[in-house]
Amino acid sequence: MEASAEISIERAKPGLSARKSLAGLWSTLPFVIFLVVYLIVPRYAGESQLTTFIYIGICALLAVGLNLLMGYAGQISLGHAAFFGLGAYASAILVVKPVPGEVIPGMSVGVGVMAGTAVLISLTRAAGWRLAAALGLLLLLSGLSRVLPASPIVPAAVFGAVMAAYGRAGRIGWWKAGLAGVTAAGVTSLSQWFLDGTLARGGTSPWTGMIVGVFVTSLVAYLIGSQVLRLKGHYLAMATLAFGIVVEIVFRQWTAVTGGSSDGIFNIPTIQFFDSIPGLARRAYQAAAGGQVTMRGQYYYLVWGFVFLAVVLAVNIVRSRVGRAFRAVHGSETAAASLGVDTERYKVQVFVLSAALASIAGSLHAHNAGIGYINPNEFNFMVSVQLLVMVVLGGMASVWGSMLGAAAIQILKNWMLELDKAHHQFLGLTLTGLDPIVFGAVLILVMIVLPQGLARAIGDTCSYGWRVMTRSRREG
Amino acid sequence: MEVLVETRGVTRKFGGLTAVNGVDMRVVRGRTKALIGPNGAGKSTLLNLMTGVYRATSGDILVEGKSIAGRAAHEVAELGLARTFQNVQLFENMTVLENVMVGCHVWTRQGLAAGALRWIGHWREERLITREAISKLELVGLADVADLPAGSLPFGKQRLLEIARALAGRPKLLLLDEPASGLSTREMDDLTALLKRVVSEGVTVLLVDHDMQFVMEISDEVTVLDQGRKIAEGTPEEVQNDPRVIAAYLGAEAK
Repeated sequence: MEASAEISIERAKPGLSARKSLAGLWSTLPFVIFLVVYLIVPRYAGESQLTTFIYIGICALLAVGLNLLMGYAGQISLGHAAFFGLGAYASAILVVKPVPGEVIPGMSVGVGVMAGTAVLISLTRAAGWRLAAALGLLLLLSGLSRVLPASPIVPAAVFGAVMAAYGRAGRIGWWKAGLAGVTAAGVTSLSQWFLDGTLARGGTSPWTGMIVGVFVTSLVAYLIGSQVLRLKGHYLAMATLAFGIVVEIVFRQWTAVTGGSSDGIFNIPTIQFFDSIPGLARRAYQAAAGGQVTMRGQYYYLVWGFVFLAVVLAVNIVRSRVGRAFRAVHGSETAAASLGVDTERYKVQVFVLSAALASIAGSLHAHNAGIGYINPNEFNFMVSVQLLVMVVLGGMASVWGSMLGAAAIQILKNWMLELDKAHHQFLGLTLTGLDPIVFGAVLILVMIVLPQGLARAIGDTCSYGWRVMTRSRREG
Repeated sequence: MEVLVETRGVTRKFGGLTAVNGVDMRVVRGRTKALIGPNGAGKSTLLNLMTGVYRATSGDILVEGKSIAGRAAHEVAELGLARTFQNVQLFENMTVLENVMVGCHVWTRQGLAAGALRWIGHWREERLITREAISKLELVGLADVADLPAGSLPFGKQRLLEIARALAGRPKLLLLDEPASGLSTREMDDLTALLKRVVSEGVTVLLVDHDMQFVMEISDEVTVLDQGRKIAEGTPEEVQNDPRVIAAYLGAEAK
């Protein structure tokens, strides 16, 4: 502590303005390096390395989002794979596997009720609306049994019934209940119209799929988050864990829509990235890559473009009014509230943001070049744990660390795959399927050896080296 | 005589224990108020009730005539109340400056998108926030440690930082929960000087403490609580000589 105090005072000497501009320069440097590396990788990397890079990029998106939630706002999520999966399935279903006609009414009503509930929760914040949220989710699932008639009147009627049952409409104000009902009915008709159109066309473009995925995932995250984020510590971990498992079961069991666990969804087309950007940008990319860019190279550019954007946004958010509010919630909720920070609101905000990033990662995963296949196993509990390990390994509350963590875990996973293929024998045991053991060991090791994570360890090493160097120069 | 905060028969029960029992109290703008009493008198509970951390079991609390019943703590802060805590509650994961910047939250408006995309509004507001935060740090004398992690400060400075953070919200009323406990004599003198300055800048102060000398030096009015009830009220001199107060402080045999 004392050592750092000395440094800061030393740095403070040259005067505030000079220090500021220097700091500004330093803080843009990582972005410049990132951008340059981003552009020239396909020049040197082969196809298989590009595949690894694409996976790392997808994980980096997830880890950056999860880090905003865990590292900065201090809220845990053990169900993040669910949001990843929601994005992936929403994209895949809308693009290649047009929703079967008979579930469209139920599905639309479900989305409508969820939207209405979200409006109601945001307007009233009354704890009793937990029930309404549960109802919304139940209705979405009941689309399965096709019991609901196709009409926007249904969700409006549901809201009427819930209001009457609770006798609350009068107390919370009729216009709030009314607005919720109208939203529910409106979103129902909208999604019915959209899904019918999708069915008629035989699928949407991947971009539409991605946007719809983000919308649906954010909606689900808002409903879940607004209820479970009242919990703290272990209780929140359990609630998000349960949510993740429930969603995975839906992916497995809702065969009509998701293809179930044996088939999954396949033949998902990749996103033709170069076709959807201006010619000038395309040529710039080609120049950077040194000639023609393969399908996989293009996809690499797309994924890491998203990572770059996410990192910029995350770094900006962290150093803004709302980002400070997130970190204040982490530091002390009581103190934050006493300063006018609406802790509940910001917790939900960061939860939804992190879910939306996970959803984008999911869409990118679904459209991965040359893979084009998803199944429920890719979104199970183990994946949530791996995401957690990435964030912790990279460093909590470090955006750049999340990328390091994602890369380290992805490379480790590749090694494990090689090991699985080799079928080594050790003391009469075949060394396969060791992933859980290895990830567990990594998590324990990190907690003991590098509790601050890789990014901090590297940073400390560099600054130590810098101090040693400058000291020897001063003395010599 | 403009009443800033008024409690009307406020009672708070925790299970079988009545921590605050039918307390009527007024905080007048510009007059430093002290809330004193022996341990367990209900001083901190009353402070927590006034800032919306706890809800009153019965009775009402008005801030400039508006009831705070049913308002969450952050909504009470928006009415112009800022506070410090008995066990200092800093954001230890942030720097000293950032702590004070969070204090500006209540009068700033830029949202998530503004911060993420760095709109013009973000820059303008960020400049205001930084300027305000630095001026508050200068006020309490912590400007030279602005970039240190808040948790690394010695205890006395953490107390000052908490006050700076509360002041950054430009409150009408500053509520201090035992600001002098754990401070050395010299730090206490600094605190007294600081509070006098704060008062001279137009912020009304309500402080909870049991250090009589400290309280007598800076307050205009004193309310004494004992076992949840108000037992005396008046100027420091009046209260000091009140037999009930002496009894409460020194025990029954002092009669």
